[in-house]
Amino acid sequence: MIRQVLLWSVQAAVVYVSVGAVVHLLLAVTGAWSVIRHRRYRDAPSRSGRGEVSAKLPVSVVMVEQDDDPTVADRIEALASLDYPAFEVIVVSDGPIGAHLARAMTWLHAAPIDLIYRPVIATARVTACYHAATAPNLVVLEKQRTTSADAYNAGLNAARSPFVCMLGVGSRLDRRALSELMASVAEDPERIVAVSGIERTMCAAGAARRPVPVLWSVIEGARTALTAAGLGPILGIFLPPRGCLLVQKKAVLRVGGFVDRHGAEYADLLFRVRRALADQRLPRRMVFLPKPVALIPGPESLTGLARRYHDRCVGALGCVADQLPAGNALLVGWRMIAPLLDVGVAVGVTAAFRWGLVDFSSLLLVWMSFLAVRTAYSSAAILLMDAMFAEDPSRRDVGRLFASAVLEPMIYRPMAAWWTLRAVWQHRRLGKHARLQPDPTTTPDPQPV
Amino acid sequence: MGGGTAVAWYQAVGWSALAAVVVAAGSAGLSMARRRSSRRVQEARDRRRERYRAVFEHVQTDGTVDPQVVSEWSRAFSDGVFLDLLADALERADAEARSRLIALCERSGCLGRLRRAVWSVWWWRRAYAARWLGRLGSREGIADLIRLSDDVSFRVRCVAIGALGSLRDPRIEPVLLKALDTAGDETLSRRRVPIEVVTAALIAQGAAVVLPLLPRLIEGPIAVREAVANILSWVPDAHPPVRAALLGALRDGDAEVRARAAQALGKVGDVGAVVPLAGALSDTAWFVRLHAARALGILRHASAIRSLVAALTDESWQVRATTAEALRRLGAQAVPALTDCLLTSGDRYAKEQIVEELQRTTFIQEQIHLLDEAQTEAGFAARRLLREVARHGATRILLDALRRHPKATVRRRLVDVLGREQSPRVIAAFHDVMTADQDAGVREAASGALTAASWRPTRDVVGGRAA
Repeated sequence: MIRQVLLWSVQAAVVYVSVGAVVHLLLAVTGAWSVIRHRRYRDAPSRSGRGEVSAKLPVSVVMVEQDDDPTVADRIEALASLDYPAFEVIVVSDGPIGAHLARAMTWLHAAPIDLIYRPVIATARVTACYHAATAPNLVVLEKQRTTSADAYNAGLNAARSPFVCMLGVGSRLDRRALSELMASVAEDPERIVAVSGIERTMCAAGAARRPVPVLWSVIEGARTALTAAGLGPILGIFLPPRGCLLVQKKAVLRVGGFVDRHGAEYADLLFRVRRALADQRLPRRMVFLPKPVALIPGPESLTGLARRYHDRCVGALGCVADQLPAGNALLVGWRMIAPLLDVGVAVGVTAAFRWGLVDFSSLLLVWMSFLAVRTAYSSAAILLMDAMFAEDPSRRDVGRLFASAVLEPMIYRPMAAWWTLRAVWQHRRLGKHARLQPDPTTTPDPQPV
Repeated sequence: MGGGTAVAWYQAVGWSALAAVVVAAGSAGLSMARRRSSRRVQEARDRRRERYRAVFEHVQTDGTVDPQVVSEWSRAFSDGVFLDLLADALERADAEARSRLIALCERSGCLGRLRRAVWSVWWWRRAYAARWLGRLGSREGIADLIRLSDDVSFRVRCVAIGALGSLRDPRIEPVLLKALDTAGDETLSRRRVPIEVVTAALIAQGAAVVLPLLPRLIEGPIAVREAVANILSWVPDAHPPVRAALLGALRDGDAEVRARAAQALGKVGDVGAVVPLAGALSDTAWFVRLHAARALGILRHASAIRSLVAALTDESWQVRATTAEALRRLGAQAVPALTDCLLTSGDRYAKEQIVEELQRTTFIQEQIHLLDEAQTEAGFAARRLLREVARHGATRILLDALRRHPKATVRRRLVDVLGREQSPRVIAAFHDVMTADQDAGVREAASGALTAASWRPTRDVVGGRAA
């Protein structure tokens, strides 16, 4: 009986990896096709009978600054050069304004003013507002230090536009990002509640060459982009973004804004918006744009990569647990624990081969899927990014990237499985809401209404 | 693990790893090959560009052209690098150099080749010919372009219409007007030339096409009316019939037409349009209100001030910001109306909104500078307005000026303006000024203000630090 159960389990594992391999190969084709089709569609002459509109829908870009980020001035400068005609930038300083932001504000001639701040979503106290004389569309909010979700909510309260582009901590927007994102919104502004796009991982500031953790982050980002582009036409925003998310303000206010999820705030928000609008039978569309929209910072070391992965995993597991009956939550949950499953299947089938439960062809199939198919998918993703961004890194960098793609299933994947296991354990131990309870001793003053 | 099992496992992992390495190496090779080939192509293009650039410099600076240049020109006319440089040179050249370049194209037989390409069976050859006939501006090519504007290929038609826009000839106007009518006709089964392309061509034609467009602004289909209003906003024309048509379009049923008409009226600079534009500030579409506010800011007429002040509480922030900017442009004229509104309006939220919008422009700073002229009417008006602004909680800019303004007169008057405020922030600022200001008069005024009133803490309406 036990042997029979083991046999079925091993057969299920072999089927799982085989289906996974086929799905990955299909995704590589559909992702590439989606990117090419979108590019041709955008570059083609307009088919509409109407001309260009006289005024574009305005957007508020909310940027959160924490821990005195040394790149904040560059990020603000990059935002000032966006090629969209109607946008405002709200920089939320979570905690007292740091030296780097203060320097940027001096450079922009920002001065304190008394703005109306209506806390539609309850946030910690906003202690000061600044307005830049040289950049009239820039406002800086200084608030008591809490969490990034609270800072996002403060930015959302201050945002004046119907659509808000939330920018992740340390992320930058591509110059054409707002135009691309809002072009999708303009097609159906009432139904489209969220838009995101491809995010690239950038090297840590000051690093001369990409270290190996960054290369693995780059490969994972490329794989995520390829998967999201492949599934985007069917599922919309399937994989939650990290760097940039354009959302309809009305829809976010309807679900009470962001909730702290330790790096998975966007995923959580998308789940709740989808569910709330579905419950109220309201129209909703979440669009994934197969175009580069944002740059997200890469980890500086392996420890940073582990910490980031672990935090994101805990946050994502928390919000998936809240939304579990939903099909999308199942998919995201599956994706979070996929490293654990992959490694488990490889080890399990090897053990089963040792005990004579499977033959050599099944063993070979599982290891081919684990190593070769994954490397092929990573290589396809790298090639697609390569063709899309038309960058020209040195030959050595290209070699390192593909070498990392080969090593990734052997080294990074088992490590990711271990981090996932730790995250699952922590999630189980603490309970899904335990980390979200505010500490009464450090709870900040609420913003007076 | 037994020996045979271990060997089998090593074999499975080894084959898989080998397959992974082969795949990655193949992909890396592909990537390298693409890079190498693109680099080689780029280098070759750079070399050719340098060679052609020397030819261009010679042609543009020296009037005489030797036969060798003519033959090189003829050979290079099918090279993309050469054509890019030629397009760039034609765009940048003055009239004399441009005519020299075109004459050289004619002498080298390029024009004849283009005119032959018009009859090609391949659509991309015809599109290429249309593009270059438009760029070279040859009069002989106009008939060919007119023929291509009715080509079977959608792309060729687009290029031909765009090329006709850059030329000046009486034969072109009816073609473009016909293309505009066709672009707006939704009953046609054939794929129409996008209306943006026709609009751009008509805008390039300038004032010559404005009058024939006016009937279409009144009775054309929506897309055509929008396009015509757009053209008129780019080609401002102050003739009475145009103004009358634009004022009529301001009452059009389509919001986009109204918005474009408001934009055009602002550019025309017609003072008679102030009242209709002020009326458009209460339009249902936010972008009509936006363009009306922008136009009123350009016209700077006092009769629009009341409507502009009311529009400071518009629900769209873009309209509010544009209105505040328009009022800033009106300057001292707008101050009494703003003060009256802040004094008399019973709507607290509206007043707060107005104060916020004023803070977002440089309006308050400009009024602070006017305090220096306290004896003039503008100075008194500024003082009244700033007092009202302070009364509505917006004291930060005033306090910042109180600490940093270089003129002691202004600082003294700011103490006077802020003297009735009782917030802790103001008291703290007065204490600072009383102890640290360089001017004895300012210190005395601050001391007087501190002792004159009995201070009570007040509620702060905004996210103030000291509240």
